[in-house]
Amino acid sequence: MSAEVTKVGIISCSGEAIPEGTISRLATRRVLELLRPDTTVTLCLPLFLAGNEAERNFARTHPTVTIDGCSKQCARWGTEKHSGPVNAALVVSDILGTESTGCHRSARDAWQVNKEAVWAVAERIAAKVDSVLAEAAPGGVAAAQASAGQCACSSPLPGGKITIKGKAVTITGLPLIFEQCAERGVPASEGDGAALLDVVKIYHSIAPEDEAEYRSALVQYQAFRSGIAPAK
Amino acid sequence: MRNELAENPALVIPCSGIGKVHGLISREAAYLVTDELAPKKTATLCLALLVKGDDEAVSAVQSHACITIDGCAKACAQKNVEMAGGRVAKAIQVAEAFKNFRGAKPGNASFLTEEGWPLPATSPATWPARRRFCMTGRRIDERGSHQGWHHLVQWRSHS
Ligand code: SF4
Repeated sequence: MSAEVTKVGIISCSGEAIPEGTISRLATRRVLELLRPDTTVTLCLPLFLAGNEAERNFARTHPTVTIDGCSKQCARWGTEKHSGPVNAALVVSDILGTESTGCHRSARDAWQVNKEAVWAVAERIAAKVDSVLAEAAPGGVAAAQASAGQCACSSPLPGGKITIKGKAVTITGLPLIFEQCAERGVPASEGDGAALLDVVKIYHSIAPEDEAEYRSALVQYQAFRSGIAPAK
Repeated sequence: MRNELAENPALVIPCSGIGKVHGLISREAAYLVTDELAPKKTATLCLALLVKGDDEAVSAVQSHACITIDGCAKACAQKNVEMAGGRVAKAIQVAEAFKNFRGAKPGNASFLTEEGWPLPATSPATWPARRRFCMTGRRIDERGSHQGWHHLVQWRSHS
């Protein structure tokens, strides 16, 4: 299978009854749209039963990660019963523990705590996708991250350009990364630029020898936080 | 969840489809009904739990009137409720409602734009929809079917 593996399937339970179900759905979307757009696909869980054989074959044709709201693990159970064994299974309530307290089911009520929770879970999913890909096809992760990002609807994500060693480098989703940093209160000063660099490295492959240059280029983050649009 | 299911006469079950805005609208329409418009008459449950065959979820759809809200014609919520032996009092498809609102840009599967969200719940503009919904909510209890949910989804996504 390894030669053909290009995408990991992420199946979310999207449970309607509890906030963790909403977080599972939104975190999955975040991975598909922003964190690992080139290496992930998804399918609606209920489609396993309501759909046709091709849809039920999903987990047989993709390495699969399930993301469930709670320990009932409906996505994992449904995927394994109707499609095939999963490569990894994550549970939002295990990841967040009490951090999901105060989260809401409806996106209309999505407060800061919801946003933090979605980011935290999305990053865990992305890390799991990387390890599944690394097991299935060593080298596939770096190659996939180097290509341009697209959301699941095929519309390009906004990128941000910074100058590294005299050349313009596009970082997919940079405006969204800045937003995330602002929401999380990640320090933006030059002295603390390491924290910002760490966040960007989640989304963009940076060679160790280029890190210092990236860090100083990202000082535009300060401008962003001051209400000035980031450089295009 | 158990008390909610026992006390509320109708279950609102969206597909929550993860690929398109229609799925998000189905989900938010369900929350609008169960959390705001008719919290004492309705509840929701996890569709995936029903797909799993959970005893409590199966028994709930068999003993309550179910309103399914699906994003598209694949009708996953409706089909799964029916496969579980549930009683679908009304099946709504968000995509059908879109036909009357061509050109609208409600957002995507992750978020709704201002065009996609309804007016704030406290706005007087929502009162007619609330009244219509509450009335139709009663009709579900008494007759097992009604026409009002279609209006709700349209209003929900395009007001
Ligand atoms: S895993 Fe939990 S939250 Fe997700 S669908 Fe099942 S019962 Fe609902």
